[in-house]
Amino acid sequence: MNCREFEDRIDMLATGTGAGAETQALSRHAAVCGRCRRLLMAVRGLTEPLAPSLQNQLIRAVMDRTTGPACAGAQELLCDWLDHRADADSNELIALHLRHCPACSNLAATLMELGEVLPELASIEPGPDFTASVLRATVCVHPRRPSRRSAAPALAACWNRIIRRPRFVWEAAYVGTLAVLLLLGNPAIRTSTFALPQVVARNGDQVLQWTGAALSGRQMAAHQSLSRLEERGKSLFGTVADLPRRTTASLRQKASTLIEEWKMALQDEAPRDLR
Amino acid sequence: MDGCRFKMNLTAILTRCKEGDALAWEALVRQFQGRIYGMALHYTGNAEDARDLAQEVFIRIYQNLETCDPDIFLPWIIRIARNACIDHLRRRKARSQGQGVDPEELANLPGRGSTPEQDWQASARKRLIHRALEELTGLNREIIILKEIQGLQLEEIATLLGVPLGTVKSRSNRARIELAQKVLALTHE
Repeated sequence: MNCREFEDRIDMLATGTGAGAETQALSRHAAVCGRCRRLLMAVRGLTEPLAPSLQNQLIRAVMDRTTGPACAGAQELLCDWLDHRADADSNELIALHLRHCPACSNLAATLMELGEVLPELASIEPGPDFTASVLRATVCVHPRRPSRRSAAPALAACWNRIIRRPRFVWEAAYVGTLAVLLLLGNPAIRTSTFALPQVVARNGDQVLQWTGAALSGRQMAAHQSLSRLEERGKSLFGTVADLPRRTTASLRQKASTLIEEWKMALQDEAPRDLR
Repeated sequence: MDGCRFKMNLTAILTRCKEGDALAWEALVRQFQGRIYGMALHYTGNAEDARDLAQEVFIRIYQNLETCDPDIFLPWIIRIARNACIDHLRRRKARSQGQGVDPEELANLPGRGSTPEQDWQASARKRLIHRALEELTGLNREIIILKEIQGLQLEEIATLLGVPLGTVKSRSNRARIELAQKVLALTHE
């Protein structure tokens, strides 16, 4: 077997897929040929790694010609990595990048330091006289503030909040309109009542016929009601005739007044509908 | 600061403040004055302005105590402080005053070392971080102040700044990276 044949079949030896005799022939050649033996070790991943500086140069060269540096991607995930919010794969990739990238490693260290120092900047004492000055200023705002809360300030504050709302004018106008309608009546209803004479003027004959019929019917009903009332009144006066004189006189007077009012009411009933 | 902290329930303190209890109000001011003043100092970078602003913030808090909810008291006072700071910065911009970190005040930033030398180094480091913070862009600086320094939740910051939650999330990481880069750059100066 020569070196050319060995190179063609080296994958069989590296992966262990060749036949027994072929593998033996490849192994025999590798044992006697130093160049092919080194090639076999390289293919099996057994050669010594590159020096770190060479590795970095190689990686930088490859990254520059492919995706560009990975630092931007690492920085996007760096905060999540520090906050333990990154997934397992990202954690491993960032850790690997930080191991070989001094710039990102410094950045990560600074971020960790900021995570500790920044919360300490939350509170800075303003000086010994600050509290006193605030208390003086707030006393000036409300010099006679009551020790216990009463209802009046709360109501005043509530009223102030209500009148400051932008819709307040519209709401006030709405409530005012409702009050006017309730107190003075609905002008629309009055307009429809006043419109009746105009209807009468337009359809005069027919309206007169209807009105006459309605009036005659109402008058008949009114006369019948009056007759019945008079009969009841007479029977009532008859039954009360035995009562003492002063009582019966008073009752009769009240009954007469009542009957007169009923008569007027019944007479006025029909015309009132047409008003 | 820790000596000023009260052990009473905040709800109880607020209830007493609402009833006009001056003692409770004093305790509340002592409890939160460092935080409010620190926030004003981070925004303005000027000790005198920060003191005036902090006082104004406490007056606003006092005037609106009736409307505050104890469950969201911290976000509430931070919102008031932030609004006051923004108003102040707008006024100052209108007056075209220069903005810069007050070196005297920053010299008082507490360190945390066990020896005076370590303490001085820690204090110097904080001053440097404060300088880096001043160099951040507007929204990034606000997110750092509200989230990393004041400890607000992302949802609270989104509501406060009026920006979508996703924007705050993505900006938050970017702001941290930007701050770290500024700190590194200042360290190497």
